[in-house]
Amino acid sequence: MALEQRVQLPAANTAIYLGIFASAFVGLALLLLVLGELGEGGSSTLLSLALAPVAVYLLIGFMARAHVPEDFFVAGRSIPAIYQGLAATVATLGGVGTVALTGAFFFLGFDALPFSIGLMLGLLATSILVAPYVRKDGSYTLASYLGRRFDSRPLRAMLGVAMTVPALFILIAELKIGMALTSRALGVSELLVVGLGGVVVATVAGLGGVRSLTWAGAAQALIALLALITPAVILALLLTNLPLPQITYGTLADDVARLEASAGITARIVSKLAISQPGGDPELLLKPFMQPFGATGSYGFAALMLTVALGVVSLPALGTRASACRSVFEVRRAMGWTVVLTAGVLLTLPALALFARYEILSGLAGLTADQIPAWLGEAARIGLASFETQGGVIALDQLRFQRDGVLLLLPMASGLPPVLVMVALAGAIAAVLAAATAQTQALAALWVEDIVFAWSEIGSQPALRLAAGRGAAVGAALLGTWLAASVSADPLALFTWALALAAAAAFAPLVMCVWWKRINQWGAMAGLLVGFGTALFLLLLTLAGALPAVFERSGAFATVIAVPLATVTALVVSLLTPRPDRRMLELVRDIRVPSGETVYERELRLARIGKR
Amino acid sequence: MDVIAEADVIEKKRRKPYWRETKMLAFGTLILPGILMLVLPFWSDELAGPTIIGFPVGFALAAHAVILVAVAAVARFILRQNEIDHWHGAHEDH
Repeated sequence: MALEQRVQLPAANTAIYLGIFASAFVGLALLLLVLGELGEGGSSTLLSLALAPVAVYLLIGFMARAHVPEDFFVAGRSIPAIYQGLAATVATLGGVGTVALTGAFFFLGFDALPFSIGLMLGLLATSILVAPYVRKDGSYTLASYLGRRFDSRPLRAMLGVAMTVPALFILIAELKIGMALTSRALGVSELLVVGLGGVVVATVAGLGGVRSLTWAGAAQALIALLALITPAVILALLLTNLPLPQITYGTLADDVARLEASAGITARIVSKLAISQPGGDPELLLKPFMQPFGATGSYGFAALMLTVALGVVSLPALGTRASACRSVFEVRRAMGWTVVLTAGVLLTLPALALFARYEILSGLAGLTADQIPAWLGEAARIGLASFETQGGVIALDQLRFQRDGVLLLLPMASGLPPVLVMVALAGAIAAVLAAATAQTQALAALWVEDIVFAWSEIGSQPALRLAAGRGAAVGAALLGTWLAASVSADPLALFTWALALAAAAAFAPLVMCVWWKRINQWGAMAGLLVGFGTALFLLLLTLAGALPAVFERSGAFATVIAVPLATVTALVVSLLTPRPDRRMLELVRDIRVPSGETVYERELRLARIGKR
Repeated sequence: MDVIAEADVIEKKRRKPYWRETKMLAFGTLILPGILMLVLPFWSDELAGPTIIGFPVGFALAAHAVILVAVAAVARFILRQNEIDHWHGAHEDH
């Protein structure tokens, strides 16, 4: 019985299952394409393309359900590197890093690059500075990792509370993106969509925690990557004669510049501190695509880049994934895959955005009011765009688009078959669900491991822990759903504030705990309190409207202030308080070496034989 | 009492050189690519004129070069760190 319960999905078969799943998706898309050409298959059959994959995610979540806490919190430490890389990529990028970032590139061109540079730098730093050591420690959350490293339960509980805020922010941001996009594209109510999304997230996270969400995440990654790459390759072939969008979109740069000039989009000069993030309502195209620092100034650019980089290192959902890998070496490989796959996505998004500018501006130039294409009318009806006519002609300088709709408008505006709009929607849903589930699980693990069970013996009461984990996952999903439906905030702004808060709270202790062995629990605690307190204070001041406009809609400058402050505080307080004792130093030296059993398992073993 | 001793797979005197090399690799991998990634975008104003396969050179540096630098850095890090682990006997059995 016990053996039967612990049956793992064998990796070789998993590759086959995922291959079948991806082929079935492509097959369904091609079938609907043929039916569409024959004039069969209305919008209701197209719907299956967006919804069938969701049923598969639920099925995977059920198949990979957890029976012991180790499965729920770290997937039995059994995830092979490539699948971890796939799941981590899609969960880190999420709907924000695909849907909203494509939109940001569409509006800002060059000035959206801080997100992609920051993501790459953050992932590189995570794979070198943090992830391998989290795996050697073997903790279930970043808060328990630091709590164990400093042998301090108060620190653990404080981090558990602090990390809740960024995880919840990102959960809300993801659900909001999924809600707005899906309800507009399918013409159903937002509440229905976000409710169903919340149920899917709660089911997958509640059934199997990390195990379910990683295997479902690998499937979601395939759909999200397919959905991004297919329109990009088709358009690259049509527009530039070479199916390599990442390097060929430059050949359209001159044409786009000409179109921009005719649409009255001219080079701008802004303050060096300015940060521009397109928001939720349809907006005008801001600046020429290739112009650097025309909407976000160079200081703002640097601040945003650092916020994203430091925030990615500190996010509770990413660091904990390391513990689900088979070994420290596998963690490094998994992070390597994450970097490579993320790089592929981040090289593709600007190409999609430039193609969208080209197709939209060239398709609409000089059209009279009675020639308005069907897609623009439809987009305006569902709130993804707005336009005006002047003297009987569409005014190119009055075209407004909704940031998150760009990915859906691109296949519509380029005259691609409606199947590709549904593929884009399926990709967006996959990315949103992957990120939302990862954040939900991170919240559940923080609440259960670091707050409820913070003061109890390591690994005690496994059945209760598992039940609490499931309950917390469902609770987190419901809370996120309710907040996403009721709070009005822009997802991209929520995302940058989440990164700023995570970096302010955890970056300094997380990096210093391995790389500076003199740091002690007092230093870590002071760093956490000062950093998180500063960032939270700045956020509250911003909400109250008491700060200059540069803080609005982005926590970038909060990071620049809070992270150095936290680092210096941790340093000074550590030096002013007693050195860490011998046991602590031994623990650091142990975490630094990959070989040997994890610290978590050793403590569990020692606790079982009552030696500690 | 000494909880570490039981699982002490790598001898204590070998830990120091292992960590020294690991540290050098980590900083070597982070500092140069990190500075490149942080600095390259800020040349894009000066390099907005000349183009390479259609891209202004400044844009290509910030949009392409930076990302490729990160990929190269992480690849080198994984391979080199694995060598260091094996050289010092700090690797896991797998």
